[in-house]
Amino acid sequence: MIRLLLCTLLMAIGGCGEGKFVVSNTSYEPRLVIEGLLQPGTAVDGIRITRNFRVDALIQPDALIPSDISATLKDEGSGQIYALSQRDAALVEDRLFYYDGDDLEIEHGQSYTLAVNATVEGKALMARATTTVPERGFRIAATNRQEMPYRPLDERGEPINFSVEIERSPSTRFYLMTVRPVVATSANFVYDNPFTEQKPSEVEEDIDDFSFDWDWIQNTPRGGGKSTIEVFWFFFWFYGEHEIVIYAADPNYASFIQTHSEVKEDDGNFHEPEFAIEGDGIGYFGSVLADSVRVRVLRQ
Amino acid sequence: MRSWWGAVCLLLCCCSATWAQVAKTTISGFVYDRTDGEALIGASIYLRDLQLGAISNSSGYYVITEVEIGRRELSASFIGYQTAVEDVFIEAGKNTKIDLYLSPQTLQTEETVVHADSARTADKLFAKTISSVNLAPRQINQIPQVAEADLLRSLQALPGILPLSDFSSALYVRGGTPDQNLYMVDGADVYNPEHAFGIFSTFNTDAIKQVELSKGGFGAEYGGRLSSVLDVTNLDGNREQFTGTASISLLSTKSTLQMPLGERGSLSGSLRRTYFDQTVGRRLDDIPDYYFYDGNIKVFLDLGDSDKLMLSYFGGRDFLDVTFDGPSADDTGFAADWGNKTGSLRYTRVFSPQIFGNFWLTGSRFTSDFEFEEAEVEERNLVTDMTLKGNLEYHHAQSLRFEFGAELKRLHVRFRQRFSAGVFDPRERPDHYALYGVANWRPGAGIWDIEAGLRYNHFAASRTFADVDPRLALKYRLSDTATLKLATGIYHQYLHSIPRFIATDIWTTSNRNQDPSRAIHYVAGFQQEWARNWQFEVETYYKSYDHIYEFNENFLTQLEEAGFDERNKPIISSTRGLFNSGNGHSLGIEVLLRKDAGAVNGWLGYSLARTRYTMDAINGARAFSPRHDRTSTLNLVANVDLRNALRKMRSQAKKRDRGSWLFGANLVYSTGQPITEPGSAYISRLAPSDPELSVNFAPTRINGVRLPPYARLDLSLKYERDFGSWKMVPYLQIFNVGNRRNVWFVDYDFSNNQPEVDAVSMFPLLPTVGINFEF
Repeated sequence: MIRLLLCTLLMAIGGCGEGKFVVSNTSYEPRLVIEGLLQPGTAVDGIRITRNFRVDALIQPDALIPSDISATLKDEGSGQIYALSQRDAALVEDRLFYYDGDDLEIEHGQSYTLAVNATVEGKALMARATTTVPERGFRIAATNRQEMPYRPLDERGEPINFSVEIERSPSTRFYLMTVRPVVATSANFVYDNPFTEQKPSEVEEDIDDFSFDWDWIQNTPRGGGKSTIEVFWFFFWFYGEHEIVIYAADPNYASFIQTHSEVKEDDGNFHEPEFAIEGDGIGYFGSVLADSVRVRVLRQ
Repeated sequence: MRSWWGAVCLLLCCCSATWAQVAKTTISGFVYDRTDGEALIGASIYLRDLQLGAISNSSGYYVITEVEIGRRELSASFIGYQTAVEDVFIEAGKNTKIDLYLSPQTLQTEETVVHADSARTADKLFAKTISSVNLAPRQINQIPQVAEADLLRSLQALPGILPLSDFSSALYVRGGTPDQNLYMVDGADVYNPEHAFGIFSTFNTDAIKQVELSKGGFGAEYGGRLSSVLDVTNLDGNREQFTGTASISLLSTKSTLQMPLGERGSLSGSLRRTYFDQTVGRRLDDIPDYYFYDGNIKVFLDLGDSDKLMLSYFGGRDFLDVTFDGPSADDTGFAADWGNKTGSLRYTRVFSPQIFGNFWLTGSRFTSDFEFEEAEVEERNLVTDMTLKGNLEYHHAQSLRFEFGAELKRLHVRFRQRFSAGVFDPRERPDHYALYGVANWRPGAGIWDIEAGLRYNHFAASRTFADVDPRLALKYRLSDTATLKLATGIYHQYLHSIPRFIATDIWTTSNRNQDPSRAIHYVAGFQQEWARNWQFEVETYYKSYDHIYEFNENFLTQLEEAGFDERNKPIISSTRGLFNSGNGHSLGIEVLLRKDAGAVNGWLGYSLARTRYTMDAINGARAFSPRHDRTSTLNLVANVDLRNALRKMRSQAKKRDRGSWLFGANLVYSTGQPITEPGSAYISRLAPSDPELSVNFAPTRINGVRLPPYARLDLSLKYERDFGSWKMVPYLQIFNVGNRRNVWFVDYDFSNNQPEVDAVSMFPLLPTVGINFEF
């Protein structure tokens, strides 16, 4: 009996405690992070080039931008290469790259290559990506309403969504939709929602989580024509005006949108996203056509 | 491949030589439980003076050929039963049919009394197929588990069989994935054998008669899966009297009833329903309404001495209703339900003492429905399987047996998901035909056992595949107590599933986009009987895989539509891009020390294993360990009859008490699972209209690190009180007694630029109480 009890005790001890996990960083490799979209008819601007960081490291904004970045944009049609400049701003997030000249115009259907070189942790890194700008023709054609109550219901009691009809760009089969309230405060939050009970202080704390949402349609018919994007009622968390922006996206940007936020699986493990960047780069360099519309969510 | 054919031809030549011998008298019959008339599978039948023996098959039938005339002593033994000995007179020129009836041992956990005329543990080990495991319901019910006994979770306590997490009852057998296991209930295939998001299996342990699992190297009679076969036989029903069991626990209530059907048949039925939704769930917020039920019914009829009919049906369904708990008066939420139905009709005929046949008509149907109407999302999953199959055994001589079979399977596999941006609707209606033949030859007076088989598969979907799978298994008696076993074979699989954590797995078939998966098994084993009642087994294996598939998490970038609906939304009907394909291998060694009887019984198992996959679009096409790979796993399962164990320690005689205390323990310790560390994080805006920079992750080296080791101890204590005509068994089970926080996965985040790394744990300490009744 004593042996039995002793065995049980030893087994119990074996089954106690806590599995301690320590981040190993064995898979960390320095990378250049690119966030850049070209839009025809607008100046080349807003290209963010940073570096990645370890998952257990404190984010130090000043250290996110390598000091020796060189970035160029090549017009694949003419072969002309344009050197990009970095804004000298106080905030790191405003230190974006742009083209300081008036001889570069982004055109529909043309291809452009961004090339970036920088040194990170003593390692010379290079990243390169080419985008082909979507062809002319995209625009928001119509919406089903300009204002609506929160979660409107039809005669059958089914919710009615805000829907946006677009005219497609003939070369583009992926359209991103973003929703953003023009004013987002705890005062105009939809407290009477069917999902979650929130106090004003909680809304203020998590306001970023409620004030931007996005969805997309893909594999739209080839060529021009019309498609409809549903903006579901549960994308709206505030009363008042919301801006809906639709982007006709090139394949580079589409693959980033489709994969970058889904790297964590249901069981907690991770997988690789798809970045259309060669070399040591992650993020996206693509091109879009954009159009926007506003809708007002009314208090009932 | 040439060497395979050579081996088969050699065996057939040897068989022809044996064929020429003059057949002698044959003894045959069925082996039954005397108390309830259940046919006993795997019982040993032995003629001591002639040193001839046989093992009863899946219908309880046995054949001993080449029996010389005269008075003989025929014995039959089976674990948990008293050995039956009968004097029989064998007449010249007349085959003898003898049905044998065994009585259960009076002490449930009594050590096997080894008579000179009964089969020994060593003989049973020799008879056992390589890499196979048999579990009786008693053994399954004694292993402490989450809430209640569970077949699949019990199997996870054996070396070479692993779970993915505490939340999963799915089996990862020798590096294979759950879709590589063939699950069968009374001959019918089961496609998603799990309830409650995988926490419980669909098999009600009270309804089970016998479980046989083959972890590899299985014979040509089985096909269509790469890794393992789990063959579950439910109770035929008590042919002597009305009996039943009932149990109530915090989670569920269940009952199994059995009764005779006149003189020639029996009926058994089981029903189980969880009621968490009606009890604790009503008092807790944020708990969705969830329950499942399952039940089975089985009719067994003796149509005559040589004809038997079995009709079996199983049905089960899970229901989930999630309503978001917001302040609005208008509720919203989603609902899902899923479940299996299987049915089988088996006709058994003894054509002659030497020719035995089983013929099945089976059906299996898995469906799932998910609907979130307000998000315009709905999902329908369908797998139907209608199978007609037959199997003939021909016992040509005591040392030569043949088995032939054919199988026709008509499948309908469809997955339809409608979402706001389109419809995903791949479907296939393939036919799968299979033919197989097996020759079993036992030369050298039973020293050798050689089994060679061939299986031909013809799978016709949007593309047709034809494959020949040779199988070979050898057994050699090294000594009176030790056996060496070898097995090898080629295996093809034409159905593939996409595992999903919360929702049910999605099945697809081989087609113009996906080749069949293929595996080659090489298994070597050594088995020895120790001190009469102990079984010691060591097995090593190597398994290679070709064309295996993993779900492509980035499949959205690969979709190609077949057309458009009336709203210009794409209809995707192809599985192209849904999987990453590749190859891999598993290798390992398993050690098992097992004792099935006695006041203290159980097993100690250890496995050392390694699995590596190489997939075209995962980990930069470099080899990686899948999530279920664990290097070392130690299992200890102990069941103790406390009073008799004490008596044994004091060298006192064992006794049958009116009340007995049964203690159970299940300890598992294993290397941590591989997991992907995100590697690095980066900041980015999603779009120019995004007001905030977000932190994102960029994983690179897949499953490149390991979680901390996993350890868990479960305990149970039962008190069995016998009231003569009925028995009551209250019990307490504690899952994860040490409340060890085993890491499930790791959560990474940043808050105010500070990193937050949290290990998310699996089940904490979970106690359960319940009570079982037997009457």
